[in-house]
Amino acid sequence: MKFIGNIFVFIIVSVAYWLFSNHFSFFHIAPNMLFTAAISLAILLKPVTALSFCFFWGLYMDMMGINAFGAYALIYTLMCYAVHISKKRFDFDMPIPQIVLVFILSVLVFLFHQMLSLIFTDVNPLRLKVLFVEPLVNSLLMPFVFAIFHYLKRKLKIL
Amino acid sequence: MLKAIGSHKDITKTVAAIYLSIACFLLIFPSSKLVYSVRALFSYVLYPALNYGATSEFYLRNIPKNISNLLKTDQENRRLSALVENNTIFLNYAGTLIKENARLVKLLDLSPSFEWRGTWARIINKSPDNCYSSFFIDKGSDYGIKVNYTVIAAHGETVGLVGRIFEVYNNFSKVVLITDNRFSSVGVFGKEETESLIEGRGAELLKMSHITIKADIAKDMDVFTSRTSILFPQGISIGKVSKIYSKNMVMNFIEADLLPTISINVIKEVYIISRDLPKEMHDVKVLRK
Repeated sequence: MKFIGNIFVFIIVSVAYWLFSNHFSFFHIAPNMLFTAAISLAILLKPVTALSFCFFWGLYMDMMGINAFGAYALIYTLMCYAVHISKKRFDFDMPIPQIVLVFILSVLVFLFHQMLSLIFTDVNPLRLKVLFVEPLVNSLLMPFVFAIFHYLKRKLKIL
Repeated sequence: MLKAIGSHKDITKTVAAIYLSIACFLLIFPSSKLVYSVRALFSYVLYPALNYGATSEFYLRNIPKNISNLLKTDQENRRLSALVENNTIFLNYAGTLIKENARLVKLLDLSPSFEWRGTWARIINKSPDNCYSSFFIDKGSDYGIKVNYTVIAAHGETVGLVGRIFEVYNNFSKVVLITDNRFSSVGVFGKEETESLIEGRGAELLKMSHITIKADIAKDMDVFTSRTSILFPQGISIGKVSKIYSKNMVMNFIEADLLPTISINVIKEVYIISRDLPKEMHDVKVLRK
C-alpha cells in the first residue's frame, strides 16, 4: 500500500513541478515544487525511501534539462543525505528551521549545479535573477509543502 | 537492538553510495546515444519551449540523426508556420496597398483634366462625433495652402465640391465641409442658371432655399457653384436635387433637398484648388468694418 502511495506521490509532485515551471512561471521564476518536496520527504521519511525519492526526482529533472546529465540526481541525493544527517541535530518540524534550511540549500544547489555544468558541459545555466529570487520563493513555500506531506504521512498514512 | 540500528545505518549508507555512484557514472561517462535520444524526446514532449531557444543546438548533441532530424523538422515547421502567418498579414496589407494605389492612379489620371491649379492632400482625421462638420488634411502652409482655398474631391469619374480651407497650420489644415451647419453658398441649376442658396444641415443632405416658384427645377437636376460666388470657382458640381418641397412656400420661394455629388464618407483624398480671394476680400476684419 505504501509503495503504491509513494509512486502516486512521486507522479503527482512531478506533474505539479512540470505545471508550475511551464504554466505558472513569472519571468522564468516559479516555485520549485520538486525541491521543496524532496526536502520535506528527506525530513519526514526513512532515509532509504527519501534517498530513492530524491535520486529519481533528480533524474527526472536531468531528463527535462539540457545540462549535465546526472547532475541533479547527484545533488538531490547528496542533499537528502545531508538533511538526514543534520535532522538529528536540528528540529526541522518547525517552519522557521525549514525556511532557513530551504534557503541555504537552494543557494548551495544552484552553485553546485552551476559548478557541475561548467565542469562537464561548459554550459552556464545560472541566471542571477533565479539565484536571488527562487530561494526566497522556495523558502516561503516550504512550510506549506511540508504540512501537506506531514498530513499525507501521519493522517492518511500514504507515505 | 544496537545491531539493528547499525545495520539500518549501513543500508542507508549503501543506498546513498549506490545512488551517488550511478549519478557520478552518468555525469562522468558519456551517455549512450539511446539515453540522449530518450532524454531529447522526453524533454521535448514535456518542455517544447526549451527547444526553440538558442540552446537547441546544444540540446540536440550526441543524438542519432533521425531523432535530431525529427526534432529539427518540428522546429522548422513551427518557424515556417509563424512565417506563413506573418506573410498572410503582409499579403492582406499589400492587397489594401494595391487597391489604394489603383485609386490614387485614377485620381492622378483625373487631375490633369482639372481646369484648376492645386495640390492633392490626404485626409488625416475625421471627427467621429460630427463627421459632416470638418476634417483635417495632411498639408498646410508649407505646401502653400491658404485659408478659404476651395476643396474638391473625386469619386471614380465624378468630381464635386467638398468644402473650403478653414484653418491652416504648417503641416496640416482644417477643412470645413459643405454639409456643415455654418456653410452657405450660391448654387445654380438648369439651363437658365437659376440661383439658389445652398446651406449645410450637419447631415448628409444639403438645403436649397430661395428658389423662385417659376424656376425650372426637377428631381435629379445637377447644381453647380455660381460665378457670383466669391469663395468658389464656378462650375464645380455641388450635388443633385433629391426632393422638392413645392408646398412649403415661403414668400414665393420653395425649398429642396440636395444630395452632395461627393459623399463625405467615401473620400480619402481631396484636391485643394489654389485660388486666392480678390485682394479687397483678403482681410475679413477690414471687410467687417
